Amino acid sequence: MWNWKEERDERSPARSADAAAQPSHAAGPETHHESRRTTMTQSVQQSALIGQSILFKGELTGNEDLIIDGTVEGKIDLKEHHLTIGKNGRIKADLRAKTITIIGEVVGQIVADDKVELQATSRLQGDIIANRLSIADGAHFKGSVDMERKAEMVKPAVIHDEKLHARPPQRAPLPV
Amino acid sequence: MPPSAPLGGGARSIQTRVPTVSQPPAPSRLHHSTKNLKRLIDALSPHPAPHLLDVGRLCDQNITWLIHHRCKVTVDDQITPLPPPPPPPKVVPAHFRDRLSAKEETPVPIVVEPDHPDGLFDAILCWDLLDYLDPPGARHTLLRLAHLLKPRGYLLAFFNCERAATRPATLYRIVSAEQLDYEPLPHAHPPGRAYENREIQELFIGFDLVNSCYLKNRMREILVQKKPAPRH
Repeated sequence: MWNWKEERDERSPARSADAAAQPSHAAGPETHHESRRTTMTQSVQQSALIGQSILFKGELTGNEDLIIDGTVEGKIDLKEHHLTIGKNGRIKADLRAKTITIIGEVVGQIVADDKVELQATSRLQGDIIANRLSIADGAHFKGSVDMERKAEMVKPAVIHDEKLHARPPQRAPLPV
Repeated sequence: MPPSAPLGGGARSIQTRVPTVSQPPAPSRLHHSTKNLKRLIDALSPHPAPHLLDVGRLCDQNITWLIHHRCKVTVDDQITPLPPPPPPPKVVPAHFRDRLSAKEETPVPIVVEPDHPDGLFDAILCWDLLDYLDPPGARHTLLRLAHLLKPRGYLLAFFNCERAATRPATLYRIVSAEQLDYEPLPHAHPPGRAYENREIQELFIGFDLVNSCYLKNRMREILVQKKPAPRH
């Protein structure tokens, strides 16, 4: 029990990367209660992790929580889930998730259905659209904030051509 | 039971005096009244969604408050990246002055130039940014900020009239339109300048004064409006 940390590291060395990511729900002093620590570990285990050495370019979508500690360029879309940009995360992308926690660096637009949290070491350049915003002392942010606009308004607008919908497609007359 | 313990039941307790460890007093965090924030919000009320630029220190409470007052807020903290103020100039004897180069005598002023399109904002919250700059740098910064404002846009600036050495860096949290919470930031470098009234007047070239008030806490709040473009 008392060698909990050592045992965990021996069992799965890959999990030590979780500590590097330091998501908001996993951060905290080491003197926390054992049960709380277990709960936090479980929540981190449920999150997918993009490690520090990973470079990803393109569109990233998913239906689970995600911790990014590497480099991502493009677009990230996690509907109804939590996205954490870890301490070593370097993101050049538009982000969308339910809640977004930034500890590293992000350049791009951020859309959160619920909350955006900028921790003390975070650096963000881009606009935020969210219902709630939390900025820690020391965070660096340049951009505009919109809390009124709902996230649905940011979805790409479906082009509705009235002429196209009014007339059914004309078929060529069948040969008699 | 130890031999020195008092007899007569366990209900009695021995009160011992625990030596108290002297801790440094926490920096005072006080609410102060503000006059010109309310004037600014009132002045912006005819706009349906005024666009506001905050060049002061980041504060989520201020952003939320301003958004709830129908403002669209852009934040661009220009105070935190500033270098610490230079040490006071050394007193040089007159017969050595000619040996100093001109570069050493006139340091290059620090200029703040937020990178935004011209004429985008209805108002700018400057807070005490200018207290961190020398007069030439402050003048240049205000010219740049004037370019960012729409015609007849507003700018709110604070000046602390106390001597610079005695005051810490401060974060101004909006409590209400008439009240601010002054949060001292002991780890941030303090402003290096205390402007006098005449210097403040000379800074705002290109602006019309809307209101200037000197508060009990030795803060001067200035609300100015960009001058209209000259007609040709």
